[in-house]
Amino acid sequence: MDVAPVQRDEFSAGFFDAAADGHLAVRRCENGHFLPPSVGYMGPSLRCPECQSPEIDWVHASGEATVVSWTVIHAKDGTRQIAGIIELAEGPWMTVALDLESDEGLEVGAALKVSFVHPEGGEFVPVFSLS
Amino acid sequence: MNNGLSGAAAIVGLGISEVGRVYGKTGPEFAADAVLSAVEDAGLTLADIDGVLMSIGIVPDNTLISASLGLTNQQLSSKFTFTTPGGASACAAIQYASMAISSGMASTIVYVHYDCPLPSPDLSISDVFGDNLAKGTSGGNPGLIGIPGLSSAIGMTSANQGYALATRRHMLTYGTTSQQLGAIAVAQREWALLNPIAQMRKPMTIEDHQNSRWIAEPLHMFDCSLVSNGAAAFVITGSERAADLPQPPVYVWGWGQCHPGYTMSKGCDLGLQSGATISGQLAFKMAGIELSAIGVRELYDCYTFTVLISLEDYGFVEKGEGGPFAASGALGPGGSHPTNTGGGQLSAFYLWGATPLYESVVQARGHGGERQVPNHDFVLCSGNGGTLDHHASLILGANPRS
Repeated sequence: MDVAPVQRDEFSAGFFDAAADGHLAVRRCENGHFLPPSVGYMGPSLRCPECQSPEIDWVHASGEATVVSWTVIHAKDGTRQIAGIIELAEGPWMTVALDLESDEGLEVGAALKVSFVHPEGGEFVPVFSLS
Repeated sequence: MNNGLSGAAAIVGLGISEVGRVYGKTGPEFAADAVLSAVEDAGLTLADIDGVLMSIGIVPDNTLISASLGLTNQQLSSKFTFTTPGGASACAAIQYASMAISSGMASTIVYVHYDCPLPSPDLSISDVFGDNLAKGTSGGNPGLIGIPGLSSAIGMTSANQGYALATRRHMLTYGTTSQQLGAIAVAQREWALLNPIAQMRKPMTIEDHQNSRWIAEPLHMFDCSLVSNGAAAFVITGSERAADLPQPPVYVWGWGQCHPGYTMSKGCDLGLQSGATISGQLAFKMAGIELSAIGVRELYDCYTFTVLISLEDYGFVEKGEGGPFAASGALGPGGSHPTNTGGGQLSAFYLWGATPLYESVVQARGHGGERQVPNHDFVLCSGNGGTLDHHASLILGANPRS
């Protein structure tokens, strides 16, 4: 699996601190609503979409998730990577690398668990495999 | 149902630069060519223009087109961005121009879309922007920083992968197949063969589509739009003035927008339901016509899939039936539902929302030549931006509201 090194910014510091400790972090507001880490490529939610609270923290997620959709990305150099939208047990979606040999037989709802890779020069990055 | 704005403005000028794999000019230079061409087509001069709307494609650009053309004392000037509303900008520009004209803010407005992502014949789009790992922040790529960087780091570096995820979801839910998407690409290629300015002029079969290389499964290369340099421009004015100008006016009968605001959480319907539903309902209500009155569809086609989901969400077919409908041959020349009649962004040229808008005007005027659709009283034009994040609709009429 080919994962490029990612650098942290202020917003993502809590996420990457947790990742370095082996935990998947998810955003949760003061009223207990879980938020996706980002909303498409439009960036993070500025407020909790359910209650508009600005008090949102990174908390540890269970690391359990299910498959929503996936793609096999083909680079021009011939390498392939499987990426998917997953639904965390807490509800938010993430777009992540799926650590699979192939997508043959993969189904919506398939159970996944998190692990982490650590590309040289970057932060720990979550990847998911079948549990 | 008429809100007083339906039919009040019309597109009276249409211009296009050289378009496609054409080199030697910058984006703004293509824009200047298109604007001058559109103003001349309208039978007007630059002195008649008092408003300018602009949008850009892949390549960011801050040129002030109006000043660089010598347009002074403009009463309206705005530029749409890459992401908001992105491919929905062209429909949105016609909507806002129509409103500005009706309000008296400006009388005659030019809208131009331009792009120049291909710097030379030797470089492909992936040479410029990278196809695997993030190389920068152009083309909507967030680079390798923070949470968005997590996507770039695993190869989600362009729109291709996001649309692949949306397409797969539709396939998994409704049984849509790659061959059915291929039927959309083939139909549009058949139209492109009838369009002298289309980039792709070789016939294509479903087998060609299936054999084209994978970009991001389930999307083959022939599911994806082209890459083009060039610009297209449109002149909009009030309908009374339009009647005195040389070209057949294309009246703006209805419009709508919908920005779904996908939650990206449990229950999110990304890939299953687009903004075309609400945007379309608003446009048809404003125009006061039924869906069955539409003779020509110019639907935003960054990918074959956006055509399919738009056909479903506008209501031309039941949800989930878009695939079999496309495979039936309904969309191509001679089909029951002529769609993307210039070849679209898949086979003609990639000028974002200006591609379907350009062909909408050609068809509504009755200037389509070999590819002219006989029933062109009403044309439905759509725009789509982000990863299905923005949708805009226009209903254009060949006749004034009586």
